[in-house]
Amino acid sequence: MSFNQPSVSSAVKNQYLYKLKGYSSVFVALMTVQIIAMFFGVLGGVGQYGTSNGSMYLDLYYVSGDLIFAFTCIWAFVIAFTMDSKTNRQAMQVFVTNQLTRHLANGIYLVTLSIIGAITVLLGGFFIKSIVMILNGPESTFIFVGYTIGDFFIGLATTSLYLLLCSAVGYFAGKIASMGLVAKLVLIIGFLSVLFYNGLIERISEFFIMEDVFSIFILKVLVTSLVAYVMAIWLSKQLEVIK
Amino acid sequence: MGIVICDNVSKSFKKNRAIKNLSCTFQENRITGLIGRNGAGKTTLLKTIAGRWRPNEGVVKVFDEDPYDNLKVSANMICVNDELVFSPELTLDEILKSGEMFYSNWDMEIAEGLFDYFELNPNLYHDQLSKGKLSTFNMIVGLASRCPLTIFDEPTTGMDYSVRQDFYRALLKDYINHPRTIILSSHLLNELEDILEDIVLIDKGEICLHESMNDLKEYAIRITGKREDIEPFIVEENILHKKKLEFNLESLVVKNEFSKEEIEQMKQRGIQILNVDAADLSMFLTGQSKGGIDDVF
Repeated sequence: MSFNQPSVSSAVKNQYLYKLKGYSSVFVALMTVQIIAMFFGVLGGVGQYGTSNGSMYLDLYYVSGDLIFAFTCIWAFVIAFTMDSKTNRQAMQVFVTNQLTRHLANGIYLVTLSIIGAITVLLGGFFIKSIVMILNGPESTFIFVGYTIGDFFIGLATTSLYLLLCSAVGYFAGKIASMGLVAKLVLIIGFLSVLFYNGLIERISEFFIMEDVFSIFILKVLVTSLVAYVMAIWLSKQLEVIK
Repeated sequence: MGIVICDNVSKSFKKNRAIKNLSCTFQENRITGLIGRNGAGKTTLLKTIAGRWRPNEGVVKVFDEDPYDNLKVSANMICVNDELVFSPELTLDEILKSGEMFYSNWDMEIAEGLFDYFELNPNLYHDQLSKGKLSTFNMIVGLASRCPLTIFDEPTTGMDYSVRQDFYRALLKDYINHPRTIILSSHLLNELEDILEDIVLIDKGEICLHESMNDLKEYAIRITGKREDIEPFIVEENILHKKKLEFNLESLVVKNEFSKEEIEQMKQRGIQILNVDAADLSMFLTGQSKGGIDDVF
């Protein structure tokens, strides 16, 4: 009997397709999370600003898709966290796979999820703005009109990158969670104490959010995501050898 | 040619050594039965061969390569056991289609034929199946993938008698049509006798016998007669099983290392000589040497 010598790319492709088909409930989760976020968004608005000037009183609510974005970030983190769990790993091992192809397929899948997530975040933002406008009537609505198609694509790219960052960190955290109890505790406590030490958490968010040059922002996010992803793969390799 | 070669392989889990310095070779295009009692190390050996685990010591070679984390081995091997996990969101039908996508030799005709025959509902999900149906479905995946190395680890768990017989027959027919290397682990040797070509007997993590099925049938004989008549013929180390009967009679199962003359002489003394069932023999070979369950009570 002749043997098959599959290429890495064909194995990755098949696993990627298997993931897309076999785990479609992630999209149901995405929709649920975003509907909840929209509900809060329409109901409360995101921010409120009130001022009075003699006889005139101005009460300003502004509406944005920020809450949808925040919820979607959590979604990306959680999905990535469970992506390489023991059961999901076993489900891959039934078919043609090795560690490299499995992680590559997972990575490409997470990129896909980030892009789909980003598109829905932007559309969801438009959606709640429209709803608020319809509810309040056009006379009491200011619309920021300086929005171009180019802004849309920049928004799409930025949101995708943030979601990718969340999912890469989630993927790494998921690997830490599958370690032994003691190692896990030490790492989590260490991580948290570093995070809250000296306002490091603010500095980390500044590192990404305050970056004005778009290309450098892309570079920062991609490099950080890649580091998290590679560390996850490395950790996964160590864990599986121990077994 | 050896498709699977294990050389001095050991695998431990914490303090428990599941297999110890085990060496054996599984030949190409043969059905080999891996027979042993519960906890003998069957699953550990098979998972090591399948590349799920790396041995602590020794070398495992499958298709001349290290199977651990190996894409080529993964593409040409399937290991069916009752722990198979599929995506929980795929119906049985979709799982079969996924199998077709991954395995280039996949035989959809056989898969669908067996599916209909065993009356599986294609719209069910894998975790909705009963134990027996689950094993049946996994068996279908194992057969349809038509991998050059097909491993079945206790494939008949939960199957009823008639499904088991159908499975053995399906396996044999498919094997004759498409010869490949099949390793089948089980503790039900009596049911497998007719389909196995080779047998590997494993006990406490060690190989205690590796023979062709035909040789196994001549491996030992049962001798029944008066103690003083039997004694001169017997070498103590060759006794596999001893049972005392009434009237000073003894029934012994011994390795068949007798010459024709010796057999003749025994017969003349009125000693009864019988063949030993393969299943009984495997039990004697892997059994504890002292006493039986009756001694506990």
